[in-house]
Amino acid sequence: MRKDDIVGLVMAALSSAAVLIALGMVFLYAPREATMGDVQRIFYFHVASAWVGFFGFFVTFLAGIAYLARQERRWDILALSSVEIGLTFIAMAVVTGSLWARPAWGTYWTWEPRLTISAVQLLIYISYVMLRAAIENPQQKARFAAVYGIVAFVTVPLSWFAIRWWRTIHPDILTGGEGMALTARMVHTLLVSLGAFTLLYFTLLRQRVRLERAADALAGLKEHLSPIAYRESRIADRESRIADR
Amino acid sequence: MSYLAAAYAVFWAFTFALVFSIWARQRRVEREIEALLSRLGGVEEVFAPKSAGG
Repeated sequence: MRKDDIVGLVMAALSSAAVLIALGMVFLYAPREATMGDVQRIFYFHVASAWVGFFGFFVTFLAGIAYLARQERRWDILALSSVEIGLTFIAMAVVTGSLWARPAWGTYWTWEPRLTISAVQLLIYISYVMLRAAIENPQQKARFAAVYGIVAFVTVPLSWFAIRWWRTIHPDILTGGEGMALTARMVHTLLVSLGAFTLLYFTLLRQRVRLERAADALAGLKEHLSPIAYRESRIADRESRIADR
Repeated sequence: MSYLAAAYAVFWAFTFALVFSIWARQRRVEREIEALLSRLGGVEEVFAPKSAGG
Protein backbone atom coordinates (compact mmCIF):
# COMPACT_ATOMS: atom_id res chain seq x y z
CA MET A 1 0.00 0.00 0.00
CA ARG A 2 1.31 3.46 -0.93
CA LYS A 3 1.99 6.14 1.70
CA ASP A 4 -0.67 8.33 0.11
CA ASP A 5 -3.31 5.59 0.56
CA ILE A 6 -2.32 5.07 4.19
CA VAL A 7 -2.68 8.81 4.93
CA GLY A 8 -6.12 8.71 3.26
CA LEU A 9 -7.20 5.70 5.35
CA VAL A 10 -5.94 7.27 8.59
CA MET A 11 -7.78 10.52 7.85
CA ALA A 12 -10.97 8.61 6.98
CA ALA A 13 -10.72 6.58 10.21
CA LEU A 14 -10.08 9.69 12.33
CA SER A 15 -12.92 11.69 10.82
CA SER A 16 -15.35 8.73 11.10
CA ALA A 17 -14.39 8.30 14.77
CA ALA A 18 -14.76 12.06 15.39
CA VAL A 19 -18.23 12.12 13.80
CA LEU A 20 -19.30 9.08 15.85
CA ILE A 21 -18.03 10.74 19.06
CA ALA A 22 -19.92 13.93 18.15
CA LEU A 23 -23.04 11.86 17.46
CA GLY A 24 -22.66 10.12 20.82
CA MET A 25 -22.34 13.49 22.56
CA VAL A 26 -25.42 14.85 20.75
CA PHE A 27 -27.61 12.02 22.05
CA LEU A 28 -25.94 11.00 25.32
CA TYR A 29 -24.00 13.99 26.67
CA ALA A 30 -25.92 17.11 25.64
CA PRO A 31 -28.96 17.76 27.85
CA ARG A 32 -32.53 17.81 26.56
CA GLU A 33 -33.43 21.40 25.76
CA ALA A 34 -36.28 22.63 27.99
CA THR A 35 -38.37 24.55 25.41
CA MET A 36 -37.90 22.60 22.19
CA GLY A 37 -37.18 19.14 23.60
CA ASP A 38 -35.26 16.51 21.62
CA VAL A 39 -35.71 18.22 18.27
CA GLN A 40 -33.15 20.83 19.40
CA ARG A 41 -30.50 18.10 18.96
CA ILE A 42 -30.72 18.77 15.20
CA PHE A 43 -28.97 22.07 15.93
CA TYR A 44 -25.48 20.54 16.53
CA PHE A 45 -25.07 18.91 13.11
CA HIS A 46 -27.06 21.69 11.40
CA VAL A 47 -24.61 24.37 12.60
CA ALA A 48 -21.61 22.13 11.86
CA SER A 49 -22.89 21.51 8.29
CA ALA A 50 -23.36 25.23 7.71
CA TRP A 51 -19.86 25.90 9.08
CA VAL A 52 -18.28 23.39 6.69
CA GLY A 53 -20.29 24.86 3.80
CA PHE A 54 -19.06 28.38 4.59
CA PHE A 55 -15.50 27.15 5.14
CA GLY A 56 -15.59 25.27 1.83
CA PHE A 57 -16.67 28.41 -0.02
CA PHE A 58 -13.97 30.40 1.80
CA VAL A 59 -11.32 27.94 0.57
CA THR A 60 -12.73 28.35 -2.97
CA PHE A 61 -12.50 32.13 -2.56
CA LEU A 62 -8.83 31.90 -1.49
CA ALA A 63 -8.00 29.35 -4.19
CA GLY A 64 -9.63 31.64 -6.77
CA ILE A 65 -7.37 34.52 -5.74
CA ALA A 66 -4.33 32.21 -5.80
CA TYR A 67 -5.28 30.96 -9.29
CA LEU A 68 -5.64 34.47 -10.69
CA ALA A 69 -2.28 35.42 -9.18
CA ARG A 70 -0.33 32.32 -10.27
CA GLN A 71 -2.37 30.61 -13.01
CA GLU A 72 -1.55 27.19 -11.55
CA ARG A 73 -3.94 24.29 -12.13
CA ARG A 74 -3.64 23.09 -8.49
CA TRP A 75 -5.55 26.16 -7.26
CA ASP A 76 -8.33 25.51 -9.73
CA ILE A 77 -8.52 21.90 -8.55
CA LEU A 78 -8.71 23.04 -4.93
CA ALA A 79 -11.45 25.59 -5.73
CA LEU A 80 -13.60 23.08 -7.61
CA SER A 81 -13.14 20.34 -5.00
CA SER A 82 -13.99 22.68 -2.15
CA VAL A 83 -17.14 23.97 -3.87
CA GLU A 84 -18.45 20.45 -4.33
CA ILE A 85 -18.04 19.66 -0.64
CA GLY A 86 -19.30 23.09 0.49
CA LEU A 87 -22.38 22.67 -1.68
CA THR A 88 -23.19 19.26 -0.19
CA PHE A 89 -22.88 20.59 3.36
CA ILE A 90 -24.88 23.76 2.72
CA ALA A 91 -27.63 21.63 1.17
CA MET A 92 -27.46 19.45 4.29
CA ALA A 93 -27.76 22.55 6.52
CA VAL A 94 -30.78 23.82 4.55
CA VAL A 95 -32.60 20.47 4.73
CA THR A 96 -31.82 19.82 8.41
CA GLY A 97 -32.78 23.44 9.17
CA SER A 98 -36.16 22.89 7.51
CA LEU A 99 -36.67 19.73 9.56
CA TRP A 100 -35.94 21.72 12.72
CA ALA A 101 -38.14 24.64 11.61
CA ARG A 102 -41.28 22.50 11.19
CA PRO A 103 -41.73 21.72 14.91
CA ALA A 104 -40.07 24.98 16.08
CA TRP A 105 -41.76 27.53 13.77
CA GLY A 106 -44.69 25.46 12.51
CA THR A 107 -43.45 25.53 8.90
CA TYR A 108 -40.68 23.90 6.87
CA TRP A 109 -39.80 27.10 5.09
CA THR A 110 -40.29 30.83 5.46
CA TRP A 111 -38.82 33.59 3.29
CA GLU A 112 -36.96 35.32 6.12
CA PRO A 113 -33.49 36.84 5.37
CA ARG A 114 -31.19 33.98 6.48
CA LEU A 115 -33.21 31.27 4.72
CA THR A 116 -33.65 33.33 1.58
CA ILE A 117 -29.90 34.04 1.36
CA SER A 118 -29.14 30.35 1.97
CA ALA A 119 -31.43 29.36 -0.90
CA VAL A 120 -29.83 31.96 -3.20
CA GLN A 121 -26.36 30.83 -2.10
CA LEU A 122 -27.20 27.23 -2.92
CA LEU A 123 -28.37 28.21 -6.41
CA ILE A 124 -25.30 30.42 -6.99
CA TYR A 125 -22.89 27.57 -6.19
CA ILE A 126 -24.93 25.03 -8.20
CA SER A 127 -24.53 27.49 -11.09
CA TYR A 128 -20.75 27.51 -10.46
CA VAL A 129 -20.63 23.75 -11.11
CA MET A 130 -22.98 23.97 -14.10
CA LEU A 131 -21.11 26.86 -15.69
CA ARG A 132 -17.80 25.06 -15.30
CA ALA A 133 -19.28 22.10 -17.16
CA ALA A 134 -20.42 24.42 -19.96
CA ILE A 135 -16.98 25.89 -20.78
CA GLU A 136 -14.67 23.79 -22.98
CA ASN A 137 -11.37 25.66 -22.85
CA PRO A 138 -9.56 24.62 -19.59
CA GLN A 139 -7.77 27.97 -19.04
CA GLN A 140 -10.89 29.98 -19.74
CA LYS A 141 -12.90 27.66 -17.47
CA ALA A 142 -10.42 28.03 -14.59
CA ARG A 143 -10.19 31.83 -14.96
CA PHE A 144 -13.96 32.24 -15.13
CA ALA A 145 -14.49 29.88 -12.17
CA ALA A 146 -11.88 31.75 -10.09
CA VAL A 147 -13.63 35.09 -10.63
CA TYR A 148 -17.05 33.49 -10.04
CA GLY A 149 -15.84 31.80 -6.83
CA ILE A 150 -14.49 35.12 -5.52
CA VAL A 151 -17.68 37.04 -6.31
CA ALA A 152 -20.00 34.26 -5.06
CA PHE A 153 -18.27 34.32 -1.68
CA VAL A 154 -20.14 37.54 -0.88
CA THR A 155 -23.09 35.28 0.01
CA VAL A 156 -21.17 33.87 3.02
CA PRO A 157 -20.77 37.11 5.05
CA LEU A 158 -24.22 38.13 3.84
CA SER A 159 -25.69 34.92 5.23
CA TRP A 160 -23.67 35.22 8.45
CA PHE A 161 -24.72 38.83 9.13
CA ALA A 162 -28.30 38.45 7.87
CA ILE A 163 -29.53 37.56 11.34
CA ARG A 164 -27.84 40.66 12.80
CA TRP A 165 -28.64 43.21 10.10
CA TRP A 166 -32.28 42.37 9.44
CA ARG A 167 -35.32 41.35 11.47
CA THR A 168 -35.31 37.57 11.48
CA ILE A 169 -36.71 34.65 13.42
CA HIS A 170 -33.54 32.58 12.91
CA PRO A 171 -31.70 32.01 16.23
CA ASP A 172 -28.22 33.49 16.72
CA ILE A 173 -25.91 30.91 18.29
CA LEU A 174 -23.33 33.48 19.39
CA THR A 175 -25.56 35.93 21.22
CA GLY A 176 -28.13 33.29 22.17
CA GLY A 177 -31.48 34.07 20.64
CA GLU A 178 -34.97 33.17 21.64
CA GLY A 179 -35.05 29.61 23.02
CA MET A 180 -31.31 29.24 22.37
CA ALA A 181 -29.60 29.55 25.75
CA LEU A 182 -26.72 27.07 25.56
CA THR A 183 -25.49 25.25 28.64
CA ALA A 184 -21.82 24.25 29.02
CA ARG A 185 -22.54 20.68 27.84
CA MET A 186 -24.34 22.00 24.78
CA VAL A 187 -21.34 24.22 23.94
CA HIS A 188 -18.96 21.23 24.32
CA THR A 189 -21.13 19.14 22.01
CA LEU A 190 -21.29 21.94 19.46
CA LEU A 191 -17.50 22.43 19.52
CA VAL A 192 -16.86 18.69 19.10
CA SER A 193 -19.35 18.59 16.20
CA LEU A 194 -17.62 21.56 14.55
CA GLY A 195 -14.22 19.86 14.97
CA ALA A 196 -15.50 16.52 13.63
CA PHE A 197 -17.08 18.15 10.58
CA THR A 198 -13.95 20.17 9.86
CA LEU A 199 -11.90 16.96 9.92
CA LEU A 200 -14.47 15.31 7.65
CA TYR A 201 -14.17 18.29 5.27
CA PHE A 202 -10.38 17.90 4.97
CA THR A 203 -10.70 14.13 4.45
CA LEU A 204 -13.26 14.60 1.68
CA LEU A 205 -11.30 17.49 0.17
CA ARG A 206 -8.16 15.38 -0.05
CA GLN A 207 -10.02 12.57 -1.83
CA ARG A 208 -11.77 15.00 -4.19
CA VAL A 209 -8.44 16.66 -5.08
CA ARG A 210 -6.94 13.21 -5.79
CA LEU A 211 -9.86 12.43 -8.09
CA GLU A 212 -9.32 15.63 -10.08
CA ARG A 213 -5.58 14.92 -10.38
CA ALA A 214 -6.35 11.40 -11.61
CA ALA A 215 -8.79 12.89 -14.16
CA ASP A 216 -6.01 15.23 -15.31
CA ALA A 217 -3.61 12.29 -15.64
CA LEU A 218 -6.22 10.45 -17.72
CA ALA A 219 -6.72 13.46 -20.00
CA GLY A 220 -2.94 13.72 -20.44
CA LEU A 221 -2.71 10.03 -21.25
CA LYS A 222 -5.47 10.32 -23.86
CA GLU A 223 -3.62 13.21 -25.49
CA HIS A 224 -0.43 11.15 -25.51
CA LEU A 225 -2.21 8.11 -26.89
CA SER A 226 -4.08 9.79 -29.74
CA PRO A 227 -1.07 10.13 -32.14
CA ILE A 228 0.00 6.57 -31.29
CA ALA A 229 -3.50 5.30 -31.99
CA TYR A 230 -3.34 7.14 -35.34
CA ARG A 231 -0.02 5.48 -36.21
CA GLU A 232 -1.45 2.14 -35.08
CA SER A 233 -4.38 2.50 -37.47
CA ARG A 234 -1.96 3.47 -40.31
CA ILE A 235 0.09 0.30 -39.70
CA ALA A 236 -3.09 -1.82 -39.69
CA ASP A 237 -4.09 -0.18 -43.01
CA ARG A 238 -0.68 -0.88 -44.55
CA GLU A 239 -0.73 -4.48 -43.35
CA SER A 240 -4.19 -5.06 -44.81
CA ARG A 241 -3.05 -3.55 -48.16
CA ILE A 242 0.01 -5.86 -48.20
CA ALA A 243 -2.25 -8.83 -47.42
CA ASP A 244 -4.57 -7.84 -50.33
CA ARG A 245 -1.73 -7.90 -52.92
CA MET B 1 -38.71 12.72 17.39
CA SER B 2 -39.39 11.84 13.74
CA TYR B 3 -37.94 15.22 12.67
CA LEU B 4 -34.79 14.47 14.65
CA ALA B 5 -34.44 11.03 13.06
CA ALA B 6 -35.09 12.51 9.59
CA ALA B 7 -32.45 15.23 10.11
CA TYR B 8 -29.75 12.73 11.09
CA ALA B 9 -30.81 10.42 8.25
CA VAL B 10 -30.30 13.39 5.89
CA PHE B 11 -26.81 13.90 7.29
CA TRP B 12 -25.83 10.26 6.66
CA ALA B 13 -27.52 10.15 3.26
CA PHE B 14 -25.76 13.30 2.00
CA THR B 15 -22.39 12.23 3.41
CA PHE B 16 -22.60 8.74 1.90
CA ALA B 17 -23.83 10.14 -1.41
CA LEU B 18 -20.79 12.44 -1.58
CA VAL B 19 -18.35 9.71 -0.54
CA PHE B 20 -19.89 7.23 -3.00
CA SER B 21 -19.85 9.80 -5.81
CA ILE B 22 -16.13 10.55 -5.28
CA TRP B 23 -15.31 6.83 -4.94
CA ALA B 24 -17.27 5.84 -8.08
CA ARG B 25 -15.66 8.57 -10.19
CA GLN B 26 -12.20 7.66 -8.85
CA ARG B 27 -12.78 4.00 -9.77
CA ARG B 28 -13.95 4.92 -13.27
CA VAL B 29 -10.93 7.17 -13.89
CA GLU B 30 -8.51 4.55 -12.52
CA ARG B 31 -10.07 1.84 -14.71
CA GLU B 32 -9.76 4.08 -17.77
CA ILE B 33 -6.13 4.86 -16.92
CA GLU B 34 -5.36 1.14 -16.54
CA ALA B 35 -7.06 0.34 -19.85
CA LEU B 36 -5.18 3.10 -21.65
CA LEU B 37 -1.86 2.13 -20.10
CA SER B 38 -2.27 -1.48 -21.17
CA ARG B 39 -3.21 -0.32 -24.67
CA LEU B 40 -0.24 2.05 -24.70
CA GLY B 41 2.03 -0.81 -23.60
CA GLY B 42 0.75 -2.97 -26.47
CA VAL B 43 1.24 -0.20 -29.02
CA GLU B 44 4.69 0.68 -27.73
CA GLU B 45 5.71 -2.96 -28.18
CA VAL B 46 4.93 -2.59 -31.93
CA PHE B 47 7.15 0.50 -32.17
CA ALA B 48 9.88 -0.74 -29.83
CA PRO B 49 13.16 -1.85 -31.52
CA LYS B 50 13.29 -5.57 -32.02
CA SER B 51 15.32 -7.39 -29.40
CA ALA B 52 18.53 -9.20 -30.34
CA GLY B 53 17.80 -12.14 -32.57
CA GLY B 54 14.33 -10.78 -33.41
